[in-house]
Amino acid sequence: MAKAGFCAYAFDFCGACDDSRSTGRTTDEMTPFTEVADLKLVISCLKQMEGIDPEKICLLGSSLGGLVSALTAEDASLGIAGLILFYPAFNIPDLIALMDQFGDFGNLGGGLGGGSWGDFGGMGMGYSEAFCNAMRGYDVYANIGTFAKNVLILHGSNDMIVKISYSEKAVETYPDATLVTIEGANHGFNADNLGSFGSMMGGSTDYDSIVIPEVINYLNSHLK
Amino acid sequence: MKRFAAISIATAFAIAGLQAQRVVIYPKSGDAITYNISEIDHIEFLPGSSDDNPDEPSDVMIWEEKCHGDGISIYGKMYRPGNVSANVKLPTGIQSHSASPTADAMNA
Repeated sequence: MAKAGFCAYAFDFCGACDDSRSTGRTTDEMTPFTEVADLKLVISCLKQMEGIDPEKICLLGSSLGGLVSALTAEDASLGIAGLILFYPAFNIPDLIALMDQFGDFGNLGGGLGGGSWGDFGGMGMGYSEAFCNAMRGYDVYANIGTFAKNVLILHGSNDMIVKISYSEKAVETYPDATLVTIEGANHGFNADNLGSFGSMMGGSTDYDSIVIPEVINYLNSHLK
Repeated sequence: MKRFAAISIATAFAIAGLQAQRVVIYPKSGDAITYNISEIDHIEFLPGSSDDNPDEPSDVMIWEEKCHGDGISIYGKMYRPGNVSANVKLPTGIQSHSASPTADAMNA
């Protein structure tokens, strides 16, 4: 994105994982709503930075970051100019409801204790009790859809974690949204963010040549 | 055509709620150079100074920054575009750089 002429700011959410370089919140305290607060703080900081146009800030988030970006963009006072979502995790409440059916058996791999569930798919993160409590029964689609600018959603056709149907429903929820299906892609568009899912589902693990032009075209159309 | 629209970013260091940590410069040849912000007195960016194609941003610098507020501190990296040259003023003198993107820089 920087090579295309845009400033890009990438950051660690507080408590998102044990390796987070941001401080002030533990993994036991992190929820999607604390991440919304983190993102709002980042937006506030960026708006003060020299060389940043505060009226042309676009959010790009993947998976849980996509959910957080979508919820944040709903705050009209932030004046977000664009929203790009990679396989947004709009299914988290459904996942928690599913795992709740298994009781303590649902806490596989993470050892996080009652009311939580653990490291799903070896992605290095689990859901804490606070996280589950925050999202249990939460209606994502009732809390998105007022963002009036165009939304670009990219989702892999072979996503094992978040079925593409969640993004298809999101497109129907927003007044102006476009869904681009990345044929064959799983929950991640290159080896860096696929993690342990990279070798599953038989697809190529690198879709950057498709995804990056989509993102740059969106930014050129909506921010310049 | 050269453009000498020098931008001083020294004031950015003092913005409330935002604290730059380090600056990483990727020169056109050689290894990346990292400066701790505490050792830098001033940086002057000279965007668009390349003769090659001043209207096509191509070079990148990476900043490590922290946002502070409500008891939390958020670590992030800022990737800034532009055909950037930079004069980094240190207590020991001025270091001039022409920054250039590398694959490593974009993945850092």
